Amino acid sequence: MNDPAHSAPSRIHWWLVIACIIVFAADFFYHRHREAAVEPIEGIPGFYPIYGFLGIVLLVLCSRGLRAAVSRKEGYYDD
Amino acid sequence: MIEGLYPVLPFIVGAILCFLVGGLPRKIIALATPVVGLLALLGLPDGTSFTISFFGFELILAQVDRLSFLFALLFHIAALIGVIYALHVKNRLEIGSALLYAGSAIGTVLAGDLVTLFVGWELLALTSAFIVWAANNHRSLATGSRYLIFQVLSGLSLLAGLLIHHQAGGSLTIAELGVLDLASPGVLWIFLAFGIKAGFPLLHTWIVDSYPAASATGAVFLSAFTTKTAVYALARFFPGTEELITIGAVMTFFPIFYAVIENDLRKVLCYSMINQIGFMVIGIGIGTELALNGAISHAFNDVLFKGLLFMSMGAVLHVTGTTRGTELGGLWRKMPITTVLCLVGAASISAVPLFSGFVSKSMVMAAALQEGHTWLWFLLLFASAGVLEHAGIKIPYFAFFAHDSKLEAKEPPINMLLAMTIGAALCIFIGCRPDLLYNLLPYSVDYVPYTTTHVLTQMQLLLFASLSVVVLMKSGIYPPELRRENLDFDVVYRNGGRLLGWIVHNPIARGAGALSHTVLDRIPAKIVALVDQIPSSTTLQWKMVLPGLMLLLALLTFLFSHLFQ
Repeated sequence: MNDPAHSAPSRIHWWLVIACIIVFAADFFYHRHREAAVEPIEGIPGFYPIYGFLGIVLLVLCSRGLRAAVSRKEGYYDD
Repeated sequence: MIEGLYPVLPFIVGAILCFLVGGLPRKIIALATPVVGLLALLGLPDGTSFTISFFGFELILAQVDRLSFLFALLFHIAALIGVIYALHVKNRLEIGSALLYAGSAIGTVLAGDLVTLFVGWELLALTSAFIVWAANNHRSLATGSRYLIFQVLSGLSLLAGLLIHHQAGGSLTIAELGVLDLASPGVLWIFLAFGIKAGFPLLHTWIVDSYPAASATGAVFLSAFTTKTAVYALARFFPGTEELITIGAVMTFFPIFYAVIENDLRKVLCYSMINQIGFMVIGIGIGTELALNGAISHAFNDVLFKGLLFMSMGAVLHVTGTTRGTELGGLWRKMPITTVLCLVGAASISAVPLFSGFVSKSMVMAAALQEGHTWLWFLLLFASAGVLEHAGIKIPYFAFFAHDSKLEAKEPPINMLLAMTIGAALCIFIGCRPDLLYNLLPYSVDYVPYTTTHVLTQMQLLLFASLSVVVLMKSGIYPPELRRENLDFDVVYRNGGRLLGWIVHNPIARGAGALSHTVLDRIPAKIVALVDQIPSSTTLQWKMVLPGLMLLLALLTFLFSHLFQ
């Protein structure tokens, strides 16, 4: 399969990884304003990165389930 | 600035002229229309103007306050961008309808009473249906009719609501109405009317059905006006209505799943639109000054960045003939300018710092926290990551990157590029100078979007969500694009409609056929046979009298049964 989606990570992906490491590390080097109402969870260092990452995993897994339930052949309404 | 001109008038005149003339004069007229309209809007005085007497009703055509001015201004900008984008189009039905449609939206948000608002609401429905039909492809005719059914139902609901409301002694002028209470007579109908046009859950299907069936240019107009007029109406009459928080939460939530698996990238944008309106509906439902400012500024930004995304997908459709993810890919080499402009739209809707979504969406989220809706805040944060996935990554990735589709493509016409550039410039400009938008909002803003915490946490969320998408794609877990139809709640309406059609064609038609056969054929035949049995010795007159007597008997029975019931 020569689909680039499945090929080895290219340079842009490594830049993304570096950017992720930098913004994750930033949490430990500045005083983050924490939201009082949700502080027990939101205040955890690394909350936003973890929430963003796991959120997408959950989103994609649920969408696969949704596809299994609602996907029909193209032109379903035409016949 | 032009004083004493009703801003809708240029749109009506411009549309008529566009139907009549062609070529360069039509282009000039189409371009001049929103400009003259805008100058007329700037010349309108605050408060009530252009009142006319109509069957004893005092109709207020223009009622200018900060809320209606902001939306009218937005619609003029959207109309101008849309006209530039569609300047190469030769279809006079589309451009004429588009001008009337923009004018209807402006007339609706400027309306000073419910009757004027209703007229605008109906014109909005009718004129936009012509834009769907003007695409003139194999599905636009049926889709346009389905679209019109939803819009007309919304209009009827509004009419019923305002009649009941008026009957119960309610005022019809907006200045006296204030916030409507769902419990008072007729108001639920008005709420439903707004809900259909705003794409409330289960009532949203017409958006996903019709916009992708419109032409490349038609969809750009459609995406700007109808739903945002409904957002205006909700913000005007239902701020602080708690039911809106739940409705909006559902709207932000379910479309992001559909957006992951949908193949038609313009359909992905439709789901994305419902998701963004969800943020606005929540803001209106929370109803604090911060929340309303957030909802309204997000509506303003959404028209610009969603318009930009619809324009970039329209450009792809214009040069390749498709917006299916399965067929696209690798277009960035052939369409580099369109790619960059699409990425600006993608960054804006994903709320990347320095782009417009960043300065408005977060206001709604901050307001949710302030009012103690903590579960809602977590949901909105999840939905924000979802927006990045489908609008920020999926749309540009499958259209312009991914595998090279080897499609014939080039940059779209210069007018399309210009319109997209204006849209992109506004997205960046508002992102960098939010104070200019904030100054136009209904309430004074003391919200500061650019704090170290906000910028960094947002970047953390977005970068790690992107990383997650990359990891899922590389590992093959991410669902591939497939040429499939994903059933939505529309299946109930469309199969329900088919069932109704079957009932009309089969049991009802057959029953009616059998009934008419009995009444019109068999019974008279029996009577004639009866008459024929009378011995031939009786005179012809008697043969005539018998049916007459029977008819008389039937009539008398009918009369008596009515008299003595």
